[in-house]
Amino acid sequence: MIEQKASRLNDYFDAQISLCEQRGKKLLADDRTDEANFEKVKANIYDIFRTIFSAGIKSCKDDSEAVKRFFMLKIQQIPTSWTEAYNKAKQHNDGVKMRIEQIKLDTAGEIRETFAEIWEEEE
Amino acid sequence: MTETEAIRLFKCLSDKSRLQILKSLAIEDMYVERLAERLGITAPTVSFHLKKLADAGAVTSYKSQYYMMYSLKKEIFETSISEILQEKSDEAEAQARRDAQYRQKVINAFFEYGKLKSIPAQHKKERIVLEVIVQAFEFDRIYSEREVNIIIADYHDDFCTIRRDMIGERLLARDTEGYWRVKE
Repeated sequence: MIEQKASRLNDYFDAQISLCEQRGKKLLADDRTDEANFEKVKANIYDIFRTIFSAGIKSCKDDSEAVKRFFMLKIQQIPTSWTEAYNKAKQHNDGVKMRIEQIKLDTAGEIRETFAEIWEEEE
Repeated sequence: MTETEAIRLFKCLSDKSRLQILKSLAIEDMYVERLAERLGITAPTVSFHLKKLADAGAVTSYKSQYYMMYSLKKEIFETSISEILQEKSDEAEAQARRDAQYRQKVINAFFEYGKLKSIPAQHKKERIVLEVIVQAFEFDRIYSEREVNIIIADYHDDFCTIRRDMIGERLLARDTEGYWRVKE
C-alpha cells in the first residue's frame, strides 16, 4: 500500500519538475528570463521535497504514519526561513526578493496539499 | 544617465514581459491588476517586473484613489542612445591609463637609445612610433624635403617610408612650399 502512495507522489514530483522545465524553456525562448528563472526556483523546491520524501520512505520503512509525520514536519520547518526572508524583503520594499520567496512558499504549500491528499486518500 | 544607470536600464529592458508592460504604459497609466489582465501574466509577476523597472528608473508610481498607478518615466525614453554613448565613461581614466601603458610599451620595444630599431608592421604601433618622431618637428615652420629627411634619418635610415607614412597619417602636411607639422 505504501509503495503505491510513494509511487503516486514520486510521479507527481517528476511531472511537476518536467512541467517546470518545459515552461522554463518556453519562457527562455520567448526572452522572458526572469519568469524562466521562477520555473527553475519551483523545480528546485519540488526536487528538495522529493529528496526529503525519499529519505522519509527509507528511514520510516513501511510505517505510513511515520512517513506522514516526518514529511509534514519537514514541510513546516523548511519554509520557515523563506517566510522570514519574505517578511524581511517586505520590510525593505524589495518586491523582487518577495516574489521569489513567495514562489517558494506557494510551491511548498501546493506540495503539502498534494501530499496530504495522496496520503490520506488511500488510508 | 551614468554608465551604470544605462547598463541597468538596458539589462532591465531585455525581457519581453517588461517590454510588454512598458508598451502598455506608453498607452496610459495602469495599475497592477489591469496590466496582469492585459498581458496574461499573474499580478505578483507584474509587481516583480514593475519593481525592476522602477529600480532601473523606467517607471514611476503614484496613488490614485484605491490604486497604485504606474506610468512611464518619459524623460528616460526620450534620451537617445548616442547621448548615452557620449556620456563620460566611468572607465575613462582606467582606459586612458591602459592606453598610456600600451603606448610606452610600444615605444620601449621599437626605440633604442633614441633610434628606431625597425618600422612596425602593425598600423597601430607604427602610428605611435610616428607620433614620437613628429615631435622633432616644430609647429608653424616650413621644412624643405631635405630638412625633413635629415630629421627622420636621425631615427631611421628609411626616411622615405617614414616621411610618406607621416603624410599619410596626417602628422605632416605638404605643398609646393615644403612640409609642416599638422596641429592636432
